Amino acid sequence: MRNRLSVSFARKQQFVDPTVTAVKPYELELSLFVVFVLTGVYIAYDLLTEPRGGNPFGHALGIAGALLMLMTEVLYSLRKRTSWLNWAGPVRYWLSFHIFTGIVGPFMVLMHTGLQFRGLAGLSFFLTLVVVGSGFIGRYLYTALPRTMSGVTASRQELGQEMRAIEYKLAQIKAQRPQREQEIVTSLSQRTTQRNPLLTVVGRSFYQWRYHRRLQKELRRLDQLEEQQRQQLAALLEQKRTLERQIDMLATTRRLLRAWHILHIPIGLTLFFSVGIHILATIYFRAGLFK
Amino acid sequence: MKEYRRLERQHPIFSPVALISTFVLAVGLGIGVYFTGGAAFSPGELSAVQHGEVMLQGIANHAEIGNDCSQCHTPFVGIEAARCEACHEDIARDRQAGLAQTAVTGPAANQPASQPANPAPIGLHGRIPNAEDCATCHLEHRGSDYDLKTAAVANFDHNLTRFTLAKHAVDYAERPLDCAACHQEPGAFTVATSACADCHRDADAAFMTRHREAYGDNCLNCHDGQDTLAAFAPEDHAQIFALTGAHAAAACEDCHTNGQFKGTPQECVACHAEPQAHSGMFGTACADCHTPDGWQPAIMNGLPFDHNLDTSFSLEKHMTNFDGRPFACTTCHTGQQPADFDQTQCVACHQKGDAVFMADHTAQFGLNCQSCHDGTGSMTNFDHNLVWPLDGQHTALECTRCHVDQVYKGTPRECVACHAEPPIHAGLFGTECAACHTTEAWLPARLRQHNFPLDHGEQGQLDCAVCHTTTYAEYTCTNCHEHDPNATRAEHDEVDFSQTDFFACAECHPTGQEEEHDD
Repeated sequence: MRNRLSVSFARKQQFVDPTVTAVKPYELELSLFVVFVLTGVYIAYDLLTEPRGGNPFGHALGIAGALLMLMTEVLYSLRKRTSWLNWAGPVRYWLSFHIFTGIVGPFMVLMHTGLQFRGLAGLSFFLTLVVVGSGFIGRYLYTALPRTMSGVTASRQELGQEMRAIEYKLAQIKAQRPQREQEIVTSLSQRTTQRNPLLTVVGRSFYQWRYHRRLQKELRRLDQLEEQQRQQLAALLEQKRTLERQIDMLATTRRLLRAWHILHIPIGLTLFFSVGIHILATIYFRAGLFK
Repeated sequence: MKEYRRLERQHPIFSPVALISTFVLAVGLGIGVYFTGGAAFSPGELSAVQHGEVMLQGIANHAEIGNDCSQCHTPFVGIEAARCEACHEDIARDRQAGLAQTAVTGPAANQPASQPANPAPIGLHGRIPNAEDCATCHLEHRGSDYDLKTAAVANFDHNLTRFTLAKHAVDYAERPLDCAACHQEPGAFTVATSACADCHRDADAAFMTRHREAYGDNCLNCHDGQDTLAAFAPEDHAQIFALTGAHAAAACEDCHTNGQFKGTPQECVACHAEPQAHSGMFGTACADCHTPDGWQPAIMNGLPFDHNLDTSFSLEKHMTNFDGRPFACTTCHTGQQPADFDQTQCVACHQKGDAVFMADHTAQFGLNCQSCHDGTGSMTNFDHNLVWPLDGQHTALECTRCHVDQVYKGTPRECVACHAEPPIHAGLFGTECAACHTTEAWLPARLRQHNFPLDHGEQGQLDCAVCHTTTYAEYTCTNCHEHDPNATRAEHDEVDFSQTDFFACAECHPTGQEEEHDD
């Protein structure tokens, strides 16, 4: 059954794939839109009724938010780390859904609190904030690791091969250019500072942006270069610098990511433990639910 | 390198460090929750607001309950009225009273406000529908300064108290009225009468004084705030006591004395003392004879009775006695029944006025007073001539000469009733005395009335014996006129002709003229 499904999906994917990859992921926009709509509904509810503990709307927000958060934690991991859900579409869709539920779920829980942060419920929400914040940090660390086409983390050896391919292409381009231009390219491709790998992990986005600007500025001096070649050159140089940084911080990133897991996973599990107690207490005290 | 790959593919949850951290955090959380107790689950502080010095079950306010959730929350059931009422026993009593009444008469809240209000036994919580859901109105966990009693007022339907605020939004100076305007005792929602009276006195002090004297101080007994008892329509009163006839104009306080409305007696005698005139003769079933339209006329045998009109004796001059005391029926009607009338009572009473006159009068006229007197006067305006002229020899007659035994009514008017026909006369002239005699004297007598012309219609002087062949009381025409009975009959065919009429020719031919009645 699973084989048949995966086969049919693969066929379909062959046909659909080019269109799908052209579409920009829009989970952030969708998440913000849903957050905006929920905020509107919440304000309207607050204005039109007398908000109080134990009413169905508040409970619904909490239940839905908790379910979304549970899906955030469980579904993406299951798809990514097991083969059980291989038939159910590419991982990137699951990531989009993961991001969507990871934003909307906690926001619904925020509304569920009614901005009251007391006792266990307050602690649960605090843990939610920590887990969400930690999730963003984890994502930033995670993207610092270079990946192969299959999405598996690339090894130092693979990175070395890629580096050699880039350098070969660069050399080819340089060879066709006059001496003055060769010097410019050489100067751009060489790294001048040796930075602490930890600093590189944290500041890599900034460094990338700064190098991108420098490239655009410097490459304009190669005035006899066609635009297409200039773009290719810029791309190669940027790719080279990124690879160099990735090789630099590979070990550090892996260490950081392991440390992050040790923080993120227990806090996340504790959050669900605390939410579980919160739900049981609500049922035990019958605080307005299922009356 | 291989080791890295294996770790990367493995879920980090399986890292021993993560497992231990998770366990430590979870156990820490569990211990924390256990030791903080209810506080961990409390969504907000309990109210510390206290009303007065009242302590219920040794607790002054909810905050003193602390974190003992089970004081109010029944496990897996939630907030139950029974838990609240374990302390708030007064509310429990109100609610039970309300349920008991609902079982009998339907929901208290649905009953019209025009019913006699009696708010005391049921209380406010007995009138609130679904009062067992205490938390519907009384929220908790809203902070120590949250007053769950006062806050419930915001959503409270004041009409449930049977006193609407429709007409109590502003005072006489058009200033908005707040709760404390009527509920003057802090923290309590009782209403002192003074609260009503103090304000309403501003509008009309004299009226309020009078009104309170008449009805007492419990304003809410009658007034529901809608208006001044207009809600209590005449139909409503009619269900208890119809305000028809003269009762329509009665003032409320005429019957409802001392502000009492319930239990006002409905018997006539409760308000109307039996008049002395009755003197115990008619009993107290007034409605047998009287209607609310008025005491007069009373109904007797299904018809309005008026002594002045319906009996031959008016009471116009018989309202008070000679000594000034009011007349009672029994003054004249001495028996047990109205028909028992003793004529001797007339004399017995009138002797007190003038004994000498009465003695003389009764000696002269007898004791049958009513044969002359109808109660309107002492016969001073009686004109005998209108009944029978007393002229000539009759002027000097004693009354008793005609009115034998003082019987006045029905006295015959014919002469022969008193004057027997003299023997010389007997059988010759008949008894129409006045044809020949006057009241002046019997003699001289002469023919004064002769209905038929003495000259038989210009036939000249005729001898009396031509017609009166036997006596003067009879006549015959057949001595001269044809008297063949068959011919006469044939001639008078068209008239209804009896045997008697056959000889009474003058009945139809009074003038004796020719052709008379021949047509």
